[in-house]
Amino acid sequence: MTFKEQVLYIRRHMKKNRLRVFMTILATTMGTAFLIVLASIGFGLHETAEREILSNANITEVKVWADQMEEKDIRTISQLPGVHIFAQRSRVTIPDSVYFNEIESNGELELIDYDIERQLDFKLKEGRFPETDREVVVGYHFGESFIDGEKKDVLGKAIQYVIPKDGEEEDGEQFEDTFTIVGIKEAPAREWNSDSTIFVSRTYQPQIMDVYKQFEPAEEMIDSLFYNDYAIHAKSAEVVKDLKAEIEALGYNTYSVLDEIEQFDLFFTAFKMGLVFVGTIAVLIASIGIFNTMTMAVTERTREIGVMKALGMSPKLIQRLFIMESAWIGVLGTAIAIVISYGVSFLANQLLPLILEFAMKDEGVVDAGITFSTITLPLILIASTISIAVAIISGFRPAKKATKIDIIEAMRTNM
Amino acid sequence: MIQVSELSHHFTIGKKDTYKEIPVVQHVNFQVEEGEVVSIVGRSGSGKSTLLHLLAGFMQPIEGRILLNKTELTAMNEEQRAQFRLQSLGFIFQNFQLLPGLTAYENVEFPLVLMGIEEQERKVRVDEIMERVGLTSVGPHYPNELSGGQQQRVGIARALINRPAIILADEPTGSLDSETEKDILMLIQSLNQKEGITFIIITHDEAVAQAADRTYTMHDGQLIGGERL
Repeated sequence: MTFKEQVLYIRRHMKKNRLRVFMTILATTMGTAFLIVLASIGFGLHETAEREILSNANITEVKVWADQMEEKDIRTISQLPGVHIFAQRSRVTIPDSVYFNEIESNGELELIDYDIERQLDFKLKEGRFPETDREVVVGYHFGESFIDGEKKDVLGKAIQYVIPKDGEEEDGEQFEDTFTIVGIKEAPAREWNSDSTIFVSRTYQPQIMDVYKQFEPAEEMIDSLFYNDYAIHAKSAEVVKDLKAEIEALGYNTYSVLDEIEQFDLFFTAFKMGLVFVGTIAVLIASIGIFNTMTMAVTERTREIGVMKALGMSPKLIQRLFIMESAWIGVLGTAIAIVISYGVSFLANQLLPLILEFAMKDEGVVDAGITFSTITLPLILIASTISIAVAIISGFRPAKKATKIDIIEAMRTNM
Repeated sequence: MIQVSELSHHFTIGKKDTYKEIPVVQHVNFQVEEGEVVSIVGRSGSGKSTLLHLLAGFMQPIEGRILLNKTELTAMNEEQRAQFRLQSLGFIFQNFQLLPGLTAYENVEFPLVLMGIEEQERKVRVDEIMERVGLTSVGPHYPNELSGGQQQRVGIARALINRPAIILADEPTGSLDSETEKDILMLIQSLNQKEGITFIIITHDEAVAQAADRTYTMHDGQLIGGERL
């Protein structure tokens, strides 16, 4: 019997018992949809958590914890095969101040290399990038960073940078310089993050050192004048692990967001497995329906099976036909369940934030961008495998029973 | 063609520890030549149907050998016996045993479907057989829409479709009126004479028995007679 004929045979029988088969498919659909939707909550929360981490960090970025990295190490790391960009950002550790129209800002100076930062994710909301070391870009919230609490329009305006010789002391000897704000950086990815930084070109760094040296500080103070932040960007996420190992071999401590994601992955994998396990119970309950339907089908078709065996249908073929029938119920139920699950998942993501916002009287829930349910390809594959495998197993015993039917006894029945 | 030697079979009744063996076929020996029509008569319960079921490979005998066309049926497993029936045997049942969900055409076609024969070839062969047994007009009808005689013709067509050398018939006219019985008998004789098909027919019917080349009598599981008429 060709495969096509086998499929036609199964379809013919399923049509004959339309209602019963429909109810069995419905039970399978409900069980599988429950499994997918339940597990999709785990996938959704995992995605949200991962997105949350990645919104504040770059997956290819390896940070090096070091106040001052040695020049030879910088060269060595820059030349490592997995390195795409070596970015260094420095903050001034001594007390300094920034004024706009004599009103002090809480913003801090950060020395960066604009050419490198532009290759990364440094984008402007308005204005342009600096062309001289007296031109700066400021963070999105700089205009709101003043101690008088008023919001100011700062683009195109000048700000004063002051380093007092004796720290906080007013009216003492101090260094003063003026910068022009030529650009405003785009807003941070997260609404609750505030960015009031004044981004100054790294070419300005010697100037600060010279000024500070004129203040005659202790030698060790000069060494720690800047707090450095080293960010090494890998060519791809795949090489980050190797890159971290190579940098750590040079004696530095590193951090990558992948470390955090790995820990999250472990937790969420266990969480998702738990949900899949609970969902599988629903599929197993549905499988009782398949078992029942197939057992009834064998009982009802006893005479027919007997005749077919008498005509020369092999027991193996009989078994295959019944297993195919239960598998087909599983496949149909799973296919419908996938479609329904996508609908439920979509509605959950649309409606749950609104319901939560209403129930908790918290306006931030919708904007928080929480994904409550995500149906991924692996989830579909896991659920389909479980559902179809359970359907096949459910049909196995009835199929075996069909092969054991005695030809003579079967032909005597009147069903 | 058919060689049966020392064939015995019994049924077991009762529970495991108190079961009883009822012998139904006892040391049966007989031969059937190619192109012969052999009838087996006997009272109900004499074991003639069981003998036919053993010849068809529906069950395994307790002891003895069955050689069909030099193939030892009794040495085969269930899977092999099914394959042998499909390829080499035809079986006509008393109650026709047509598949109710299939039309007359599909019932006749079914063994060819099992054999995996292409649809085009199936059509040619089914049309030819249907014509030969006088069923050209009933092809699209379901068994419950046919008369007893038509159903038995469908049964015969189905038994012939795999071009078997041997057809085993279990009371082929048992459920038919006398007029239809004559038609079926003539059809069997015609198939035997024109195509040389060997028939073993189990019957109660004197007319059927007389139409055979030889007749055996089954009595308490033992086969006697078999002389050429």
